[in-house]
Amino acid sequence: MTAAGAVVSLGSFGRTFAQSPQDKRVVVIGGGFAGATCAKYLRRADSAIQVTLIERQRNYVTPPSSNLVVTGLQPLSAITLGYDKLRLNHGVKVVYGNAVSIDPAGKKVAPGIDFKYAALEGYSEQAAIVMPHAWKAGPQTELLRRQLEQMPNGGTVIITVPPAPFRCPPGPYERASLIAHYLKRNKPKSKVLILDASDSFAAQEGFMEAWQALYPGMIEWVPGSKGGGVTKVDAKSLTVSTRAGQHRGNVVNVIPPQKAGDFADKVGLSDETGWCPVDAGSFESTRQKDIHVIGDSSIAGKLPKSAAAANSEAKVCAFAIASLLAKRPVGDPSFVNACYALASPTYGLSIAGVYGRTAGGIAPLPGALGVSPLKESAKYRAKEAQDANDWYQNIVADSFT
Amino acid sequence: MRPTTRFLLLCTCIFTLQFIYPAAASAAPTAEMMANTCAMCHGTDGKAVGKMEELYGKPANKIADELFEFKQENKGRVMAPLMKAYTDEQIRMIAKYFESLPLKKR
Repeated sequence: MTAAGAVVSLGSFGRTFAQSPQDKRVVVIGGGFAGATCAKYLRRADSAIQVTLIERQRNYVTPPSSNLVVTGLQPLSAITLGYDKLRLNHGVKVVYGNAVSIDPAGKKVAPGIDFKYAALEGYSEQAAIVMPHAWKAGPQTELLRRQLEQMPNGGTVIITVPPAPFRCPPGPYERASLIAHYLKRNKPKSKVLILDASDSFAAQEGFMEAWQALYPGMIEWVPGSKGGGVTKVDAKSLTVSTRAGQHRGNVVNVIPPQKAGDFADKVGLSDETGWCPVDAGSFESTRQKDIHVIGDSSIAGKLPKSAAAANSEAKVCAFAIASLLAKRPVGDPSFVNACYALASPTYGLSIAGVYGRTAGGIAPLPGALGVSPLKESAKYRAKEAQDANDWYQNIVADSFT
Repeated sequence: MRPTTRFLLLCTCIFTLQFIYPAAASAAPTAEMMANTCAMCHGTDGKAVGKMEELYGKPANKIADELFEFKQENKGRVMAPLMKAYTDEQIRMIAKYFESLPLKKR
């Protein structure tokens, strides 16, 4: 789960007079995992490159670990970061504000996700105050937590899952798990209903096994082929409509259909899919020369829209830009995706793989894609839960400090 | 063209091919490119935060031996599938990269 960065190097300027180091300038738009990592690794790749990071907000709330905040296991402050260390440790210039346009001669990267409100009847920014998405971390995360706290014992929590692709593929199921964990302790007669547009999901067998063991009968998953796809929501009555019928929830968490951030549309980086096509080695947009797009908004082959993939793409992109500015050939990329999800605070599940550039685009290397094995011991699950925590601390440090 | 000149040109060609060709047509990522992917869990330059295994400042042999064990014996949770992506030579390259990092004050 991450927002993307945007890298704009100001100019054919930099190209024409690249011999002069002060002309190497890159602007990164968006300070999520992708943008922050890219800014840092550009400076590490070549300290002659001047890097400016443009970000709307002074504090970044990480989507990873936000399900722990939703369920009261962590305060929001534990997942809230600033940008001072990028400035102090790496000399990244940080500017707070809205990017409104890109100099087409410049080089840059883009802006995370936005929601396709129009694709879901009845959903809007106003409706999200009643039926939170909590898919961009921050006030929405706390709103969903308050709703869970206020819900009566015996109530139903509905989580709607949009068509793929969306940010953080295992995220909705981790959320369902941790909500069930909270309900089991505090409101044990309650249930979680997942209405899913798709027929399968990330680490599905692992989650199903965990739900059976930890929360028997508490979580119901309705796949797309059984009418799980949501067609309409109504904030007044807290109802959700599918082709198969209507469901009423006490808490309704609508994870909306997604697309690249609006900024990508505005500057012509996204295509008819709503996402941004890029070159697999440099992440340069195939639609706009000298603009590189990384993170959730890019179409990065088989890499998921995760913080880990964003961190990995950002480093590949930083190397590519440093090479291009120095007029060196761009080297072969290598990516790792490592995602953790918690079925409970002591039950971790992982999805991990090494990805490379293949004839068909970015794809996992043979034999190098793994998910947590089934039928493992409680000790193994606890170790992966500890891994999840260690992963979080380290990816935050690697990306933002 | 005098023979000497031709000889020199030929030398230049061989020299250039040996040094430029592998970089330009590389079919594989560099050690640094691969090692940087470790950082999301093991810290920038392998300087880990918290309980995660540290790679910085460790001898290459020790790192490589552990990575081979993950690969061959299917151990180390996520490390098992991750190590299957790499050839033994690439694992040695990654291990040597961490060893080669200058030891500085943190």
